[in-house]
Amino acid sequence: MSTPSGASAEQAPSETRNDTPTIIRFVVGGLGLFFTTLGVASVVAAGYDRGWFGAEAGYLLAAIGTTLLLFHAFRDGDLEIRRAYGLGGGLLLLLAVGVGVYPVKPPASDVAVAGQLLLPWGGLTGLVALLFIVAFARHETEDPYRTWARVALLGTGGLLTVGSVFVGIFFPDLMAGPGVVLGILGLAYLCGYFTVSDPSEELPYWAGVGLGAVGGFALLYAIFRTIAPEVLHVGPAALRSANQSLSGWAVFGRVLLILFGLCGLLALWAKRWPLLVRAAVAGAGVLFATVFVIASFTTAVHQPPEPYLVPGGLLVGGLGLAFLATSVAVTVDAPLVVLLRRELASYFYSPIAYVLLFFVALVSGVTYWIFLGSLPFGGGEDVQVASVPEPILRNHLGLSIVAALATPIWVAVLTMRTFSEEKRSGTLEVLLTAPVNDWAVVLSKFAAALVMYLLCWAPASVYLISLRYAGGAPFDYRPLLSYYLAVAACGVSFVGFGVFISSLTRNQIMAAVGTFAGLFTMFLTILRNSLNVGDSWKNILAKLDYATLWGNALSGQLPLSEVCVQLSLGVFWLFLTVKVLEARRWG
Amino acid sequence: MTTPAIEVSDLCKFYGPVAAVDHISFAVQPGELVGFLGLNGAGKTTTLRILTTFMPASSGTARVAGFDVMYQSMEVRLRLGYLPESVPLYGEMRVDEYLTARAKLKQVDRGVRAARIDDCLAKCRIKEVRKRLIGTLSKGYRQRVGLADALLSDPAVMLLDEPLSGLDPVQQQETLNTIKGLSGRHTILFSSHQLSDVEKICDRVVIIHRGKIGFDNQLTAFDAGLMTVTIEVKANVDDAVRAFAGVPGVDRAAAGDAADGWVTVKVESQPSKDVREAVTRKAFEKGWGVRRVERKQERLEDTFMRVAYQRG
Repeated sequence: MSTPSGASAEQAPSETRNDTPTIIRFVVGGLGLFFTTLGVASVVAAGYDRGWFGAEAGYLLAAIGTTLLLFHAFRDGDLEIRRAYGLGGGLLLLLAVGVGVYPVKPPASDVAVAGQLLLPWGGLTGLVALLFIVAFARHETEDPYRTWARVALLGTGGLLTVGSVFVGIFFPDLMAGPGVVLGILGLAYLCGYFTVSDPSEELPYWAGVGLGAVGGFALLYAIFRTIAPEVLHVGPAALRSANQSLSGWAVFGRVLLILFGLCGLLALWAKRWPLLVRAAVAGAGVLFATVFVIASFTTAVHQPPEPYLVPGGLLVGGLGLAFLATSVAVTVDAPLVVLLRRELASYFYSPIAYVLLFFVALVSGVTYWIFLGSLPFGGGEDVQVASVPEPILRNHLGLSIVAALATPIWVAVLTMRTFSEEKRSGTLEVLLTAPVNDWAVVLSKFAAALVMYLLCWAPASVYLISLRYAGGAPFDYRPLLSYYLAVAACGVSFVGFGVFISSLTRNQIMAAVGTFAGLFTMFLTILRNSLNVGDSWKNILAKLDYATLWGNALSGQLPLSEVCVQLSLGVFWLFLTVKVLEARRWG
Repeated sequence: MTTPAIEVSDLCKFYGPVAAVDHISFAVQPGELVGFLGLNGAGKTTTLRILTTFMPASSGTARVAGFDVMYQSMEVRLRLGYLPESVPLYGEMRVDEYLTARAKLKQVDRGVRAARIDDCLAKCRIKEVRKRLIGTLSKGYRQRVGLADALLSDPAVMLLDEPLSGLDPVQQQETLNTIKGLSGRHTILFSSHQLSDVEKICDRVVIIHRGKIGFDNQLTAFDAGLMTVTIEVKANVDDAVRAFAGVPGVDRAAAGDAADGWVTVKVESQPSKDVREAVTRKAFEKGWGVRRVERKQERLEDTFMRVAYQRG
């Protein structure tokens, strides 16, 4: 065997050829163009009362056509094709901006106002434009075009994210609606930018840091705007009991809150954090403490403040949190973040996530239709107003005893592979010989599964929006907050249990069956009254009864003790999982 | 005296009643390229796993770059590149995605990460597959992705568990050249049961057998090793051994097989001395028939076989 010195004798085992995407180009791309044109044309024609298919079929055709075009845009990297799609994306982006700011008369007014078309048309056009631009930027190899696409993504994303926070601060009433749409769209543009550029370069890195700063600011602003006016309005009265004497417990609580704020100063010593984060945490802590100190001595705000938390504060805070999370995922290289990204991605690399979300959407769709069918509809000819029997959530989601029954299955499916797959394939050895501690490994798997678990609840919430429109009347949404808190707390315990069981075996099926059996037993505690056991046992079982907990939460009661039991169970399982990993070191 | 890159002393590992590693001690100096040989099940992988901190030892200590594998596990892992025998990888990830994630885990600095990954891809000759899914790669490519992963953090010490198994001859040669190129800068301990590979590139060999170190020396030591003359004579066994042991220059004589009145005697001497003539003359003096005279210096393979067949 002679090896030429220097050059590698080895070649790739197979030749790689550029595949010519004939079928995709002519069938998918062509059909997409045809359907889109046809759809848009019939929508326009329907506007002049000349429709061939009518507006609704037109929308459907345009949607199908656009989907096909997007598929083609992502698969076909040919020079002319990708440039055409890039140009189209750019034009769509301009169109979206135009639609967003074009003044239209709102239904009940004579004055044309900008932003009326933002929801849904501006947002939707912007989203489609984003997808085309990302497809273009992924294929484009030549420099001026590549840079333009990135600048477009970064600029749009930056403007929209900052703009949405601006709206949240100065026009809180616009937050529910245009503000959120702008924020989500901006985040989507920035995510698009991060997928087409390498976050280890300078500009994307600092864009990520900037996004984090905006998010952190929005989150802190939402918290202060909610707390500070209220606290400053009540003033020292909060420290006094009914007979105007100083209440010891209230003073104790106030001192604790002030100390909690001052704890923020400890961040200054956290040498491993970036300076920006340290300064922000310390500043926020001092501000927090100052607010409570001032409120302890004087009433600084005399007008009763308008409530800000719902919906404005929650939306601004939520957007801020989403920005912050994205920023952390892009810029932070801590093992926990890296592993969490990998774990989350691995759900979407495999069919598990899709099958599960489809299944969940199906189940909540069926319960929604059953519930809708049970509503007595009344009202006029074209507006169907359901006479909505409150508590509507209790009645609708009460059907989700189905969800309580199905949860053990989802959790088993979500957690079965966390550790057992790594043990079976041996990747655990590679993972645990990297400089990563066991807690980071366990927490990343747990957090990824928890995020997926929470995602499983999203379809049901989408149906609630639909319920709002079908019902034609607002309903009491506040129990949702307690309901989702209860669901999330139980999620911590369930997912923790699933991860623990998975760490015990290298067989996924065993893990799934074990998790299901354990959680189903927990569900069965709802039948505890037919058991022939003592009252103390029944009390213990009652604490584990999550189906009843969810039911109560839907009526707006959140029994804290049960929530704490579930949370601490979760921590307990995680602790055991870490010990299982450590056990290999016990020899 | 510099700190040894790897220092194992009195290390034991028991799996229940099985002594996989039984009181072994050796040290590897920085920059050395050491072949770690042994039969299947001899304890190679167990020793490597203890060194990577994946498993604890039952007793004894092991240090990597001066850090104890039991008590300074993180320090050890930061300085280590490890390629496990079966090369477990996440099949659903793309090569560059996987390497980026691993580089972050191994705390490769953001500024140099992209360049570092490029460098490892080039060294392991996997640039052309960087966008492919790991699950679709052939065995040889997977092996080299694993090697690139082990190289990512530019570790002081690399532990490679059978890096050549499953490769075709061209790939074996190329990978050997890569490993050879890495020595000096990195300390490398690589296990194998391919003697010829080890002979080609290693400075030094450690042979482990049934959990014990059977041999540990520089490969150059074989040139200075004992010379063995094998002579087959028609004589009584005891007479032959006694007669040959008395020849000047002979250190030792031992009887081999005996059949049909012919006996094989192995006569050992210092490498500088050729005792073939003297031994043959002795046989003629005694009037014994001679049908074979052979001189052989012990090579790696003989040592390996000798160690592998010894009992206890």
